[in-house]
Amino acid sequence: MKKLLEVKNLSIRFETKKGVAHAVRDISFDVFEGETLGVVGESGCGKSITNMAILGLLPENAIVTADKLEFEGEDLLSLNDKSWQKIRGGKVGMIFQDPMSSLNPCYTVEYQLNEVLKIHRPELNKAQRTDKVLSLLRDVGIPAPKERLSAYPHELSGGMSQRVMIAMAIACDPKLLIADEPTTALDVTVQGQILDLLAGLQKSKGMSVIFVSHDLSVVRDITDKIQVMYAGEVIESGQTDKVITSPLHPYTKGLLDSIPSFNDDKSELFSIPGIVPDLLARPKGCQFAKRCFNRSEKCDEQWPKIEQREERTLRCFHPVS
Amino acid sequence: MSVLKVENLKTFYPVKGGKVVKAVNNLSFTLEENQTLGIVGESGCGKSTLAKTLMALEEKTAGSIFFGGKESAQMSLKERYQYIQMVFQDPLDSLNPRKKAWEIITDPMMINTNASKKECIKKASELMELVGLRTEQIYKYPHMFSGGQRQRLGIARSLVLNPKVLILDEPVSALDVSIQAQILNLLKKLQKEMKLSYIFISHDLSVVNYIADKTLVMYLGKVSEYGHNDQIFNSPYHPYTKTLLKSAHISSSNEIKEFPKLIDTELPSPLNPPSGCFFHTRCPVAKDECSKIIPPVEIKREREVSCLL
Repeated sequence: MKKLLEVKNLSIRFETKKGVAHAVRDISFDVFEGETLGVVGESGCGKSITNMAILGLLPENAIVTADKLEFEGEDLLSLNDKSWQKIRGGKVGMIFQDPMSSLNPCYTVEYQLNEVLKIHRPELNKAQRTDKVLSLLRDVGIPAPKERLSAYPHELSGGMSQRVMIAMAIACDPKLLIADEPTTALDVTVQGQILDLLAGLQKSKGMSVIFVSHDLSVVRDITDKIQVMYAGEVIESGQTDKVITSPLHPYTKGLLDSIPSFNDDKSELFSIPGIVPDLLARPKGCQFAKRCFNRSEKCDEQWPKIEQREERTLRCFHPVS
Repeated sequence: MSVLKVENLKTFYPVKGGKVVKAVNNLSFTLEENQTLGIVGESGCGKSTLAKTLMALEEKTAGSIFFGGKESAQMSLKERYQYIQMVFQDPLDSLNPRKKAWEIITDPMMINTNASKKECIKKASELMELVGLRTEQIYKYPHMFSGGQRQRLGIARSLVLNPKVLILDEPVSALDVSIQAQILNLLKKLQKEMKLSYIFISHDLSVVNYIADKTLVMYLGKVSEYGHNDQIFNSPYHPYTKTLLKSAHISSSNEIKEFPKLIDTELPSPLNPPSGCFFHTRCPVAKDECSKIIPPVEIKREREVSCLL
């Protein structure tokens, strides 16, 4: 398989009045062709900001450093605005969490889909664009697509809006699709349909997908690889089934144990004590040490390095055995 | 004796053009002391309207609500709020940003009793300790607390009048999983210590399976299936319950995993509900008669079901 995206030691920091906030610290991962990578972690752990870096959508005051940030061998860090346009929406598509607020309420579905094609497929004429828009709407399973063309976002339900967002994201046959919590705002019945749709599209178009979610049961079912993030670091990554069935990092184990299991066990849930560290005042050692059940003095003093262990990468001195 | 009994409750909203949205349509259930009733269903199925009606934030159209044997019509609002209280979904939106923690917690006390400020502060610190907050935080404002701590404040406020029943409307949906577990453990502990009864509204089936004793599945204002948790979750009867369990990716039963997909993903408009069984337009196993006959609520396999099949 070919390597599509390569990220090596990516760090993103913000200089604020109160000091420097390291939103993402030293993360490395690859995405291969046709593969699905799941990203999980609590709010504020750097999941979304990593995706923004891949899309060049970070705010101006963000300082990005990386040994490598390459898409299809092209260095993303040296791109100018014009070259970014080719990647964004062209080779990399993005689906956001809340479909209602990511569509422009003032324009029709047709206008918004057309816009993508106008920018990325200038060779198409008006009639060809309309045909393409209709076929996209059919691809994402919107019934009676012709009638939906003139609809405004408020006339669509949550599931329908998310389908339109997906149509926009796949309009230019991207090689990589980034789905940032695509089903969190949707009902569980709709969630199932959208996940099926994404899986089907991925197969038929041979896309790679980065799937960000806090819902571990969804990530387990649809991803090949998984990476667990905590306070802007990747603390464990590997094959999804391995990480889920035998987590090595105490944080991964804690996350899995705090979900009520679907059986008759009604005993007290495991809960991770405390809260995530303040990014402006990071602890010196392991970022998770304060909340960890397996820590030693070393964890408070030293920052654990990334290691390879049991076919996965891990940042921990005392893995769960 | 049941602490809460609801009989044929209806809450309708009139809309333009003489139409009516039947948000809660003929619901009946009972809640026993020290038990938890889970309420599940898609957005727009009437879960929150039910909560609001029980809290007298919406007026009921018909039916009766009994609080410990006493009908709601014979109770003053003050009496009612000492019996039933509510915890809201979004912990930040439901706390007044201009008030300090102790004021937020004891607001219901100041309105409904003649307690002095000193008594309020004392009560507030007791409650903060009970829900796992540090008592020196009583002079802090909501924005100075984390998400999980804010939800603890909301819970402390709901307990200040010593109610018997708490309505929890999606109390953990806005929280991260690790914090969600902390709050669920707290709710279980409080229930045991204070003999509370909960109505737990959620769209997360694994959470409801964990915390509730009985569950009521709602669809467009009506009951689909209502019974003990092991029946609803381990051997569901109604196709809608099966659909929910299948979509949530949690059940390991093959019957659920192989249950056919929904025909139509969209919830029908509550303004124009389908004829016959409301679910028949989406039901993958519907028969001809489902579009003609409104299924009665019957006892089938030890639970209440409204389905012709």
